[in-house]
Amino acid sequence: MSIDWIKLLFSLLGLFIVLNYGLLQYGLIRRITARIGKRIGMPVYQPYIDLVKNYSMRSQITHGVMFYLGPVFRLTGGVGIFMFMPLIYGSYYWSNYSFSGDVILIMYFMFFGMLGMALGASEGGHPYSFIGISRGLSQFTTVEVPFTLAVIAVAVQHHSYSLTEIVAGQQGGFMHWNIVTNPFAGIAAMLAFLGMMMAAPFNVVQAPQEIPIGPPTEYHGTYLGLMQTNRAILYVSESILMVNLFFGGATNWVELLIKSFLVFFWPVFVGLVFPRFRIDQSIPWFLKVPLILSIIGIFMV
Amino acid sequence: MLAIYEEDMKRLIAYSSVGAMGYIIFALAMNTKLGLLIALYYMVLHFIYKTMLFLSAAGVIYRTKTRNMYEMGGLIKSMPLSFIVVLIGIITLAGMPPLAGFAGKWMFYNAVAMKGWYLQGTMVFFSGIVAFLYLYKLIASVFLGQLKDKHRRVKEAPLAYLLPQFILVMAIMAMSVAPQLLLGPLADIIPSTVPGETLHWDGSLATTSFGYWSAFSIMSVVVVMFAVLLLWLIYHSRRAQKVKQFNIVFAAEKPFRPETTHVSYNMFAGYKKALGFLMTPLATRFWTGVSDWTGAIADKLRTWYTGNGQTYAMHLLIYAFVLYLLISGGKIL
Repeated sequence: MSIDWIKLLFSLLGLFIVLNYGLLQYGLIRRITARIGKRIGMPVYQPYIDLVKNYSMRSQITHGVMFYLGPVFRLTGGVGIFMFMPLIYGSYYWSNYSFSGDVILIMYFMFFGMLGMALGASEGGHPYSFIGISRGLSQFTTVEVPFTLAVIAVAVQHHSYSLTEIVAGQQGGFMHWNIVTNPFAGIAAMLAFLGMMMAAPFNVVQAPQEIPIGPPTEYHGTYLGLMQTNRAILYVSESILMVNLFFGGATNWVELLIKSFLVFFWPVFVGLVFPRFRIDQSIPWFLKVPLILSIIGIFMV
Repeated sequence: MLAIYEEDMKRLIAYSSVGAMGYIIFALAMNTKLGLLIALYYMVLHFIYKTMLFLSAAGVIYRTKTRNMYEMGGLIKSMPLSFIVVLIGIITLAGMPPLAGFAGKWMFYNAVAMKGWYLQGTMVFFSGIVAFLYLYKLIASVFLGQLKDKHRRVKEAPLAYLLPQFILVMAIMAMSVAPQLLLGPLADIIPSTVPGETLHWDGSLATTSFGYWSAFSIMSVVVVMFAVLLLWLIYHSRRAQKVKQFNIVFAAEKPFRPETTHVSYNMFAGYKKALGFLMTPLATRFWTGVSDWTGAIADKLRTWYTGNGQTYAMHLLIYAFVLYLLISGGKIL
């Protein structure tokens, strides 16, 4: 099997663009959140400063090799999602490695980071980590049910699990987008997306005031830097996934970035309006409205 | 789902076997070529990883002399090899992308989409992610977290336990890199009379009419990323000193007892509160009902034994009378 070096280069370039974009987006959103709270907020480039600071700090303590695996698994998962995602429809070089894996692979890569993070964090032995992980995994199981149903509905509609073909089937105006052709599945997936992004109504996993940021409590310095990198990549990748699945994909970078920004804005808006759910409230919530919507969605196709 | 609340290590693994059997039966029930292939594949795979898990659990139990997971913790420091085996076992069981378990999950999705059993498929899928919860519990509460005082001197499991485990780990790895080695022969033994389509192989790329998946390229991406990051982190913090067990920031206090710091017993309490009503098992409810009934009936019967001599004489009389009736065939005189 020969390696296409140019393609690899393009994938890494795409990764770089997405990383920068994710960092800027995060800064912007923090600033918007602050403005809504009648604060001035941090500068938009603050995530860069944090990142440089964290990477340049050298840790003096370690909990053992397993402890490293948390961020390693997480970032591998994040990059894995990105690498198997087609970015620009119709472009050979910007489709990454989507020819060797379909949407199921991407869904399982999300678990990959999650479980790895859980393992690494629990090696720290901090009780808050355990509590956060137990909440996170519980919530994630229920988030995934409506999301999976919605994905299957879309896949059956286009008779393919391949993201490229799903995007190809949505070309030609917004009336062909899956959110229009199958609104129930689309809405269910968007509601599940709230949980996937762990935005405010469902952020009990990290619960900043209750269990100080939950699973990553013990991570600092470089580890935290790795996780910030991952957050930038992962959130943008998940937004791109939603764009590909329900909003017709994109044929150039500008379209892609605008669409994914709007998709990313949805959990932010919801998060600013609603207070946090407890874990025993959020789990049944995902099994009520989104689940029913996604079941309707699957019967529509 | 019962496995989530199970505190006994071996019983937890046994529950997950029940789940895997459900998987196989579901795949068989689909009665397509892909379904049969999934069933066969899972039989082989389940044999391998479940042997791994049981063996390493046996090693842990042999060394710690307990089966309750909440009594263990932090064993990774003394039993790193067993830990690696369990880690690979659960990644396979959960069906994470780079290892062999993902092949089964992926075929499962394709088979479900072809057959059109979406809701049933999602139910099975849900049970698959619930598996995460108990697998995490298995590995975290036994190997991670805080080491208990009485297990400070625990050694690694004996070689006789470890050797077969690592042979099986090799098998898993080989199947992960080249799943066609196993799936090819298995697909050949499925009779052609079974309806439906089967997998097509293009090098290491597997395709159906729904999707495609290439184990080798996934494995390479993951391994490259993983190795680069891990080595970099190890290099980066080469001068870091290993901290003691309780050197964690915990509300400005320093914890000193592992039992109070290791969250392990009843780990998924929130889940129980939200969805627990689904999981009180029917069998338990049935037997609780039976025992309640027995108790109630016995309560009534108990009132016969009043402790009064005259009542017992009355019983004897009634008994003799009934006996007499039975012998005489219903005729009083």
